[in-house]
Amino acid sequence: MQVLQILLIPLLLLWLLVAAAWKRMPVYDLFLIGSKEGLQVALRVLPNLAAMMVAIGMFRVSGCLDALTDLCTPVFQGLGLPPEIAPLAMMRPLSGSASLGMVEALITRYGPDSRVGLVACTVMGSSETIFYTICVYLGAIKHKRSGYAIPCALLGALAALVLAGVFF
Amino acid sequence: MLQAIWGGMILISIIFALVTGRTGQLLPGALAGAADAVSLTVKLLAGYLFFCGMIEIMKALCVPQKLSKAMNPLLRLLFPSIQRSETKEAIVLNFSANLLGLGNAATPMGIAAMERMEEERQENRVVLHGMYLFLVINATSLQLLPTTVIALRAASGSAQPEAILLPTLACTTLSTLVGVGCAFFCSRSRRASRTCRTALKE
Repeated sequence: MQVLQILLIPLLLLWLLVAAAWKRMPVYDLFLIGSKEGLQVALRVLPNLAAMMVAIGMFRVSGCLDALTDLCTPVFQGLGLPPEIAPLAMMRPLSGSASLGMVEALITRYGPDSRVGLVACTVMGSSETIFYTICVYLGAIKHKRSGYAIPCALLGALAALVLAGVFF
Repeated sequence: MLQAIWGGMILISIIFALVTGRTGQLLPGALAGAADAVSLTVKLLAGYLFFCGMIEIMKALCVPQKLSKAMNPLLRLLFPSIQRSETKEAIVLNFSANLLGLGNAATPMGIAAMERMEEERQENRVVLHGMYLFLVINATSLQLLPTTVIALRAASGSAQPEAILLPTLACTTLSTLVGVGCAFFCSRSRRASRTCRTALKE
């Protein structure tokens, strides 16, 4: 498993470059085009991150974050999850920027290779901003009712959350 | 919605700080949050520059289109009520863009898929369940490579940034399977209750 994990991305890159070279594609120029796009993406998300992380900063110093974590501790321990990720798990379906900011805070505090850091990263990487995504798609067609979509997606996210705790 | 979350968090923080007597720390906390956003953006920037560059090569190789073609049989299984080929094409292109982590390409394709399903729904009401299923699949995350998280881990000095790769993949798969399973169950029970009601009326 471990070997597969380490080899996956390098092999993917190897295949990508060999396939592109085979078709005589200008790989260097393509990389630059994509890279430029990446730069714009990073600049575009900065204001969103700043807004959300200001709110999280205030939430933390006021003591709310710790109070919320304490409140959720029995439930999360029951599920076999570190209670420190409780605020992240609650924020994840609502806002991508806020949850990314929370992952960053957890990684800085506990370390990226700690159990808290590993579970937080897995939760972040394996889930989606449920409410936002559904809002965007329904808003585009001016459809008001989401039917059973939100509860089903939340159940899926809950299953993934519990599984993340099993791995680490 | 974000307005309410953002405003609500700040409001609760101020009230909580007033009660606990920590109002003096609010401003430093807010500014520290903004500073964290700057350092986080710098960390993410490295990842974006690298992964977006590589993804551009992948796009040039037409990987999203090839993946969409491979997904066609799956589509017939998941969305049997959808007839038009252009609707199906929009759905698979959205799925493949999501799988490859191309968020910018996935959203417009997803909107197009929803618009076409809404058109088909005028003729066939069952398509509504297809729309809900599509929303569930999009909201349970499909992304195969968690590039942002890996970049963040690497920038934070992790000894093994890719240690979360397979666990993340397993969790994504499970969440989508559970979501799809629930959606199927809900659509079955709704349709069953509707046929029951019409039978009772007669």
